[in-house]
Amino acid sequence: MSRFWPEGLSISDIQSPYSPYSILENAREEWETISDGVLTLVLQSSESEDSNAIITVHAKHIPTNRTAALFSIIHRLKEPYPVTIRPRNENIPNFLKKSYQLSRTSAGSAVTKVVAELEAINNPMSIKKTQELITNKWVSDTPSEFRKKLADAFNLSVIKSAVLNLTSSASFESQSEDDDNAAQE
Amino acid sequence: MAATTVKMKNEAGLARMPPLSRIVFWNVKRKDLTDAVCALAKSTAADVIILNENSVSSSKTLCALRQNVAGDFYIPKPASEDRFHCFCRNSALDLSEIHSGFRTSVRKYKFENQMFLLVLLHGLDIRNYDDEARRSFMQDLMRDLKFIREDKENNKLILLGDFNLNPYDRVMNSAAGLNAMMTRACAAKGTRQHATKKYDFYYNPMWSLLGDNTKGPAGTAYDTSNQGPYGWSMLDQVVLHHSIIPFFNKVEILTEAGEYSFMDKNGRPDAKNASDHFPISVDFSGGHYE
Repeated sequence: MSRFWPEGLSISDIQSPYSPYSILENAREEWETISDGVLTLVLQSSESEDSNAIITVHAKHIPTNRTAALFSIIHRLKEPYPVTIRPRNENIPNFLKKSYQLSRTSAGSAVTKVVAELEAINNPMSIKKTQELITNKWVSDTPSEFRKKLADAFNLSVIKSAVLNLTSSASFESQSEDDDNAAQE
Repeated sequence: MAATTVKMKNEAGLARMPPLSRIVFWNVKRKDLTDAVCALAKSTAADVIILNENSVSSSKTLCALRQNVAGDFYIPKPASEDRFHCFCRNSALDLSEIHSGFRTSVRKYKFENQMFLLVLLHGLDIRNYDDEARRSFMQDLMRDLKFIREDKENNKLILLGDFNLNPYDRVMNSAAGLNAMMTRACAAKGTRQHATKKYDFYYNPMWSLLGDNTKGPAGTAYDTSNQGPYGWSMLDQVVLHHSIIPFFNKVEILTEAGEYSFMDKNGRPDAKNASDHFPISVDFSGGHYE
């Protein structure tokens, strides 16, 4: 067991393909193979205003040419790692999400805040700085970590929903009939 | 078919007899305004009604439109984005969704042998999102529009929706933003260069409806809190690629429909009985100048 090899960095990480774009190209090949050519990924490269590289990943239903934006990948220009995934905004209601966080506000928090502010005015030295550690679960430092998180991103409900909506054009006729029936009721 | 024939004069004073296509957009703020929507559909004779933030199921709204306005209303399919409820009564217009993006739904819009792309969008609101999030959304939107233009090989974009921005906000008119100009003449040049890139001009007709010196209200939403420093805002907008200008007829802010008034006694959107946004109606006309 090496003591000096960076933890979390696997041999595969230093072999190509290792850039986020290359890994996404692998994902695209896999999509085309598994869907028998019906679905593919379109990788749109661009640069943000603050000079980061952005790859927006779109799913495409080839028979209809319909597309859906799935998520974005962001890293510094010419430095592929660390890289983060920014998932598509989830617009589904909470009752349809497999998990979600409920934020609760304690009844006394506003009062506590006012008391703390008054105390701070009277005694500035009493101010306690509170630090909150924000964890971005979508950041990857290495290619192997990015592969895993990319798989997680593709497994999000909102992504599955977008893909299913793309491919469900065959059911639209029956869906329209349902609408007709609903409208006639 | 709701398409009507109207006689108009273009800027050069030439009469024309084009078919007209009318789209009405309304952010109903998650309220059940079905009766008002029906009145709106009836009074405007719109081909297309698009509701944003409609808490009523689309099938229920469709049912009401069919019963109270016209039996030929239908919901264009496919459509995946529930953020926009779209009702159409002219199947020739198509309006099927070809792309769903970040808070956007792009529809085919066939009119006068042209294929336009109608981009329905709902920007991030000022109350719940900070400047950074809103700026990031607009950058996402720009990337989405670029993708749509390239992937669909069509730059005839019509952007319609609750932008949650004013026509004068920087991102609306900067070259790398929407590049949306105030007048037809400004946009007529087609493109402008910024750094090394050329950017297509868009035309934002909402500029014409701002302020006191207009026929209707000064904007589509009213807010004097710290998030609405101007009082009136023109959050609901239509913005057109310069190539569509010849087909654009007019845009109006609607304050009433039949017996329904969307305005309170101060002339502002009646948030209590209707929505805190006024609806807007956009007319396109085609045909040849006589």
